[in-house]
Amino acid sequence: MIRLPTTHAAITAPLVASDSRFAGIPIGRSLLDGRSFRLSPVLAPAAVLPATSSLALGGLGSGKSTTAKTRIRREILNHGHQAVVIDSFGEDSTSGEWAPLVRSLGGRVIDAASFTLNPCSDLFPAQVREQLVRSLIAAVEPGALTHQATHALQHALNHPKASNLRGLVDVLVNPEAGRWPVEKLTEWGEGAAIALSRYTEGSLRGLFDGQDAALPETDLPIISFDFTALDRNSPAIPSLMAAVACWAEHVWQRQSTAVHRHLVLEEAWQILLSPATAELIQRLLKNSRKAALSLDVVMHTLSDLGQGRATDLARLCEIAHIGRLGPEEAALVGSLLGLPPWAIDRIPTLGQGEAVWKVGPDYTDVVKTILDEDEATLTDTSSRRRLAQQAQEQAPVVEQKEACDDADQEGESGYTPVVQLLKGQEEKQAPTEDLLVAPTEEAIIDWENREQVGGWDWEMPPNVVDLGADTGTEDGAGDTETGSDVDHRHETVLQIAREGRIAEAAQLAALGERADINAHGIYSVEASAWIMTRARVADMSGSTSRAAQLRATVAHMRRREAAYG
Amino acid sequence: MYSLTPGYRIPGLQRGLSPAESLVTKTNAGVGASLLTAAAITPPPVWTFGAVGAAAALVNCAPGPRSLARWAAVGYRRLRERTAPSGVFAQPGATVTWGLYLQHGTMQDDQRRAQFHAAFSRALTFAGGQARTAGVQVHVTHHATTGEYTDHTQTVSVHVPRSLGGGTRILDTMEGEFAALGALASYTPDPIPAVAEHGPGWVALEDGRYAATARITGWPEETTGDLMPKLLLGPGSAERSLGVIYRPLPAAHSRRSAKWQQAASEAFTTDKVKQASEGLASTATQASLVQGDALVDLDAYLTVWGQDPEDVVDARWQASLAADRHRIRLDWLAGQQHRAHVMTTPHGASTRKGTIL
Repeated sequence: MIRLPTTHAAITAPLVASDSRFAGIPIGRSLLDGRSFRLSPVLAPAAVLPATSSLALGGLGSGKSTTAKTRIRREILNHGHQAVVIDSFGEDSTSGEWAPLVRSLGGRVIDAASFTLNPCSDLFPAQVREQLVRSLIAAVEPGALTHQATHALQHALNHPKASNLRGLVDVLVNPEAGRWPVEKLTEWGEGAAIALSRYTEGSLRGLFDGQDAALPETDLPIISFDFTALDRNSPAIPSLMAAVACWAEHVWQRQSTAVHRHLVLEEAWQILLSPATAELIQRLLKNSRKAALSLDVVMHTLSDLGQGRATDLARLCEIAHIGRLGPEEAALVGSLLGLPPWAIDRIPTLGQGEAVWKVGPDYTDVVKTILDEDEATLTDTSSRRRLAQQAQEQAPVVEQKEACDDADQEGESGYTPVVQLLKGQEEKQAPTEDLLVAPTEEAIIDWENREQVGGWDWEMPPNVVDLGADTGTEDGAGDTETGSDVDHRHETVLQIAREGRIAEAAQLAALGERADINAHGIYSVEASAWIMTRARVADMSGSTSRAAQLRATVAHMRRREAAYG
Repeated sequence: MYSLTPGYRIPGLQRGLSPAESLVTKTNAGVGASLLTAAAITPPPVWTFGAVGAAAALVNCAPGPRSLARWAAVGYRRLRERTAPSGVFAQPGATVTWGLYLQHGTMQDDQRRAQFHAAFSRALTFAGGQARTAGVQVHVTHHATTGEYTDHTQTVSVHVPRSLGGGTRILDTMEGEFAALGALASYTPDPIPAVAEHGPGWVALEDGRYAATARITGWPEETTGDLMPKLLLGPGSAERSLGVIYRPLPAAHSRRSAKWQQAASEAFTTDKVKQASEGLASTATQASLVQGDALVDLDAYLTVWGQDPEDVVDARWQASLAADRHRIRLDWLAGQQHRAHVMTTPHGASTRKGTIL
């Protein structure tokens, strides 16, 4: 027995876990307390989750896409949901990332590169036709749709000649008199006609000016629009997106009979950056629960979007899962989504398939997605990395460094089960990583090496810190990183401060200062350089008194150095 | 920063004497006193001293492993402790058990965790202050079922001995107090499983499980408050239960105890460093008492479970390693396994202070 004050004894209370849980498909295992984590947003009561849309963030290889695919697969198989995927990132250019999953579920992959559609086809209801044409115009000329232009367009669409886009442009240019005189209609229709002429005569020819009017079926479990064959900066993407979004909103949503639907935007930043499509997406988001539609947005990080839009998106998505991100991005995402500090701290250290989940305003969890074998095969995006590893196995030692760098850049997209299968290869990769690290370490530790490179001619006792020789050795080994790195870090901090992110810059400066104090000592030149940088940051933030104080510190340090040093 | 520097360890004195024991003590004192008085008045023949000395030597010196006395003592203990008599875990009084779960993320967030601990501390103080004398017991258990996923079962029980009276009022009051800590729901514990088999350091229960229980005798000197989440939520392969029984003291009793503790520490500790550290501990204690907290007697037990003897022995080894990592000292209850595991179930709530385990 032990007798303690209650305040001290309270920490021994073994009350550590919660029992809050959500209904729905199994997702994985909580890394906070080991419980199983299930979630189908649509099954959660509206009071807990007002919106069902989700946002997946994470670095390359963090497993965000795998988690998104697994979720969709389980929702379709377990609950009979439907999904439309806009797949704009394929690892190999032949087909999109989602293609294997879509095919396994009996869905259809629609290749955007060979996509043609006649937006004016009689097979569409008049309303859909008008919406389609309007969104096409908005995609290329967002400013063209004035009230008058809209009226001119509406007037032209009723003309019998407007059975395809070419005819529509003709009618816009040479309208027949209606309620308004011909001159006025001609004048109003000019902007719209110019915009549409990009589809009939301009760079986007071939997409919307054919006679084909076959729309995708609305009863398939999953449809993927595969944008991977297109160039990332292709001007066709906003238009195609506009057409797809319009189809989803006006045809798919109305005709599909599934209990719930998902619209998945893979690598969504390019879709959300285009003003025309962003507006559509935002509208879909706002009406999502009413329309029984969830928007699942998968992207690398919110900073791609810029401040305003990212904030809007974060506010509208009640569910977010964030895979591994760098510390700065984690802090940014965390502040946008309102994550607690402990969760933000964990984001940079998450492993593959692990993510911080935020469900509604209060619930934050760290979850490792658990895949079965089928899912591991279907969602595997690591084929390239495997190829790199196999190539490395076959190739002689010569190009190991390049291969390793390549693999790093590709990201460790190999997901746990796959990685386990490939353990042998992983082990073989390890020595190369050692090779990369080895030179500097050897240079510092190995006395023989040191003597050759320069510095002291005799061995120093181990308790003498020989800074001069250290730098010499590093330079000698060809690793000039230290010198350039310092300047670079100062520059980065000042750059960030110039962009107005003062708090971030100050934090970075403090980190750099701490690192340099640890490396060089508190009265070192490096440390005072950091204080000067902090003073400049303080100047930029407008707190001149703080800057003066910091500069005084540096002056004091120099006096002290002169006195004692 | 919490300090778990031992405030007041009283291993030998923790148990009050049972009525029979106090009767024997008093009789012994009376008989001894009368004999001594008689001897003072009329000195006995000299050989009496020799006879008494010889008898004392026989009883006290080297009875040997095969002596009759030792055989009889061990045999009696085996007989006595073969079962867990219902009286041990069913002291007269009122007991209620609830399931208590925190709000999600409480243990991960430093601020919310500190708030929870403060609230729990207030609840203990409040429980202690419900009666004029000590006796209210609060028993908290945590059971983790491991596998692909881990399931946590957490209970809080309050036991009010019959001697305090007014049990229902105290229990209802405490229910409100605990409901403020998280999600509180009524909970009916499973009946105590009977012991089917004994082994070296473990027992097999009727339901096919094997258990090994340790008393937690040492806590880390200082922690930031995340001791329990690290210990219980961290990776662990074996099924395990942890039970802590709190016996809060009323305010006046706490103050008296702190006073004596400080006096004893100042008077009897010769080691200067130890004296200084005890001085710090008693300063902390005093500060807590000034803030309105109380003192609480704390007993904690850890049980590991397995599916077969090897399993439970391995789990015990793993638990020892984990305890070392967390600077917790475990004392495996080798002889009394047949009832020790009950202390990590809600049934342990009504055990008498100092029950032999």
